[in-house]
Amino acid sequence: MRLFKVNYQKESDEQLMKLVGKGDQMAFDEIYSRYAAKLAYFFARKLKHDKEKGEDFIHDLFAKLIDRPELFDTSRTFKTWIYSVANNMCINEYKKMAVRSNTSNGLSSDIPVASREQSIVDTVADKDFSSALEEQLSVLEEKHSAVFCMRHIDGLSVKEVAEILEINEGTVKSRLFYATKKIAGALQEFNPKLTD
Amino acid sequence: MENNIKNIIENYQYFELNEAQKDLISDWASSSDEFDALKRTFIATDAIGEREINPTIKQRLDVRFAEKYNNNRLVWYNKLWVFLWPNEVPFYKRPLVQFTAVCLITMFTIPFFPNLKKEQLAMNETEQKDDVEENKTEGKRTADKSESEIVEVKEKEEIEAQDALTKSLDEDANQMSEKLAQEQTGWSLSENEEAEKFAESEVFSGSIADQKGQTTERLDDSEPSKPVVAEENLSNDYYATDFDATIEESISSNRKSKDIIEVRKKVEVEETIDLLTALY
Repeated sequence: MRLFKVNYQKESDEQLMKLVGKGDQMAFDEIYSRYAAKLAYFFARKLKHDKEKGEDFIHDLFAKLIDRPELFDTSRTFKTWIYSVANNMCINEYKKMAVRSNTSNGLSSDIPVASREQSIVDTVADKDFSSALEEQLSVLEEKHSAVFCMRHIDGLSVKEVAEILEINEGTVKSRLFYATKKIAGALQEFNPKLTD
Repeated sequence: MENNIKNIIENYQYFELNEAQKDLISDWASSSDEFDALKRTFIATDAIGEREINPTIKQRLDVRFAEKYNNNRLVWYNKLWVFLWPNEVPFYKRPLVQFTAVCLITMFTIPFFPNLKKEQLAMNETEQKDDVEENKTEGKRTADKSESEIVEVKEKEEIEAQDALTKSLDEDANQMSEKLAQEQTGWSLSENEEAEKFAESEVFSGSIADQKGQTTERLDDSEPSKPVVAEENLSNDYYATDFDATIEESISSNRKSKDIIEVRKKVEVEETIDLLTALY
């Protein structure tokens, strides 16, 4: 029983999930505001910038939170749990895409779904750093870009990334080091000293 | 990458680093160019971490949330409970808490109101009533006792009065019988005694004995004869008048005693009536 009004912004994710289980709409809104945008980027990155599919995945993920909040494993932090759920959704989608690629027109799955649009934007942006970074991330292998994105873009720790991807922390560190060095090396052309 | 390495790269320039910091990031950036590239990469990743989402997703989720959790609130008592116990407001602002607080305050403050001393007075009145009832019972008891005592005193007085009457009547009767006996014998015991005294005195004095020789001879013969003095004083009229007077006196005394008893009875009855009226 709470004696005073709940400050949802200061509540932890786990506490907010308990309130969601009790039907607290404001707790759900707070969770949505914390993770919807990040997960949208996560899905867009994982799903080759397919915006519509990413939004569908966002809707499905939060619909799971509404329908079955008891699925949240209280032994884990909410952040790692929801990213692992999102990652599993993406893996399942990869499997579906693989099945489709084997049965359809035979296009390569390595080609990003939205890569053409992104590349057009990138060309219009004319060496925009962010777009270049995203391009480099898309060029990277999935295992490296995933670790890099989770660590630096989503703000997860090495331990959390290892927990979500279900790999060792050492593997995460090595993949992170490789991805970071490669991206930084590729983006050295944006160094003002060199451009000058 | 540890957080301290990332913080060093984001917050410092390469020339600002000391040897320890350079050794720490040596694996990541061995030169200033690599260091700047990493810095720019990390800053860029912080900016690109989020995407705008279509607001219809949130609307659909809100509808879904309302369908799941608000269906239970359609019943009237659930609405009442939502009114009394809303989750959106702080604890102390909830109506149920406020109602209970008001009730508790009234419950705990009413006993301290000054008007309620009347209740204490009422309690005292009950005690006084009890005292009055006790006094009444005691009064009744005392009245019963007094009545019984008065009755006993009356009985005693009546008995004493009857005794007095009987004594007086006996005395009168004795006097009457003595007078009748004196009338028959011709003298009284007192005169006989005077005669004996006189005879004894005559033994010691011969002159007196000579003068009263006839009387001594009459005593020795023990013949009843009328005394000299008695013959002169006693007569039939005298005895008759004396007897009537004694009877009248006795009757009057009896009447007086009866009157006294009646007066006492009246006084006692009046006193008891007064006492009873005073008590009630």
